[in-house]
Amino acid sequence: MNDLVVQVKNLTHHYGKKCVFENMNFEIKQGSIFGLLGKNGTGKTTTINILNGFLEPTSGHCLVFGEDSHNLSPQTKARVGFLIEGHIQYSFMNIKQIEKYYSAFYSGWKKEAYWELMKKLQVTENQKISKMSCGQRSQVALGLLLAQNPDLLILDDYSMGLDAGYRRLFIDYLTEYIKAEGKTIFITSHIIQDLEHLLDYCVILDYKTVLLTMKIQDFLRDFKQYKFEVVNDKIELQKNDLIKNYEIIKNKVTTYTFSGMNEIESYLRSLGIDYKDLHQVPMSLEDAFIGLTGKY
Amino acid sequence: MIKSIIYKEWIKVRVTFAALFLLNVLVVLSISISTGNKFIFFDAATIYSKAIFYQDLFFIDLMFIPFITGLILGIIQYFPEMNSNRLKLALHLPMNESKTLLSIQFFGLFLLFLIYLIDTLAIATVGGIYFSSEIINGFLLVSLPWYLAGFSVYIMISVIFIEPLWSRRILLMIVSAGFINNMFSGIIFVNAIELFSLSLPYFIVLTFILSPLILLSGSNYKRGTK
Repeated sequence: MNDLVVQVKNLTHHYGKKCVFENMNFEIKQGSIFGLLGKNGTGKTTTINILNGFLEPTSGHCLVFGEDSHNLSPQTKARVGFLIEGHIQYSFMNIKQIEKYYSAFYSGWKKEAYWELMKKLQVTENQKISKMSCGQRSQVALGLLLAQNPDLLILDDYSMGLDAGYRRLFIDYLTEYIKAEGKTIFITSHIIQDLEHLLDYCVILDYKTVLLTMKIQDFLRDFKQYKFEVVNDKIELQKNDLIKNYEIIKNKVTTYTFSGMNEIESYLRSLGIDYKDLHQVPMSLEDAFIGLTGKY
Repeated sequence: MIKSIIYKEWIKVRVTFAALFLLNVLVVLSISISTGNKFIFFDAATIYSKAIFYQDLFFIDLMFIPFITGLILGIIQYFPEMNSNRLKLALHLPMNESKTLLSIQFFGLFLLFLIYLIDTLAIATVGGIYFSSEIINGFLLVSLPWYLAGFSVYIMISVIFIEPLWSRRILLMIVSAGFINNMFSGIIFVNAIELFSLSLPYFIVLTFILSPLILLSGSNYKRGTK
């Protein structure tokens, strides 16, 4: 029980009459990297806001280090590092001033971690944040988080506005950070492919619902894509326990399932579908994500 | 920690503070010059009688300056906090959230107090050259609501900016406009000094009762009633 950093229990949120999600449940264990994946508008930022205490859920509970996320004590807040979507920081400050500002709040402040990153940017100490590029600003935000040295890092779309180089840099530093004992990361990103080799667990959201919560390895191993051709291109399939999603383009059919090829074959035969060339196609995390949630 | 919050706020507003300070100094300087000129071009008896019987304020040009000062300082201090939801950064600090919000607000009020103190001392000094202390005291009493209007508009800017719900923001704007308007309306009465003496305690109490409203806005912001 003690190694649970975050516990989300039956979380439901509505904006007015619009339901964002219902009965979301997941737990984040200490030392893991947990990804919250979902298309735009499925409630990723809403979940992060609830987790940080910036939104009161319609119902359900969210505990961070055992405390209600809406009433975190200063001691618990000191253990949580929070990256706001867009790497928002105080842009009227320069990089020296902002380090001085935050250092007063955290007893274990590691200024070397911050300045190590700043050196790589090749900017002067008096460089104003507002005059920096989006990539450079992301490094300032990351440097401040690493200097804070929190036990839990919450990153809301760290990849927003970043080119491939800065995204890779971000991931490299996160990988180093997680090596430290007991550190935990909760991350969202709209660039799924970057997270494939980073995440341990994931929650995948769809509109109003949670599609799955599982280990990323299990998801990549168990979720499969099968393709086949049909003789008659006017077939009808339906999503069900077996077929999680499907796509039909002319006579080519793609199905996504947690089941094996035998089950798919039996199912197609039971529907009287005349098919050929049924084969499994390997998937990346992004393929699997799109396969599960659909392209639209 | 509070020292650090003050450090951040100072970096944010220091240029604006300097500009507002300069504005106030220039207005007071202009008042000093025009008052001196009045005594050159008009006879002193006429000026005194106007001052005593009609309460002709030699520093009437200062009337809206404290209000403008409070308004600008409030906007410069709170706009960056609300732009891109930067207030989340402040509220995520390992510090009591009420303490954080009040530290930001009290620092702004302190800066306004400094500017207003300089204004008052300068007016008292300039006035002291030409008028008796009884007249000056009465005049300063009349000007007190102008400063209270400056404090009030600053406080209400902080409350309105942090409040997340637009309907509540509009309601707060209407109430603030009505309240602050009262602080300027008394000037049209001939017996302004007596009138202000009666209403001042209420204005002072009401102005500073507004200050903790920022905690209510902060609580609404945290609930996310957007």
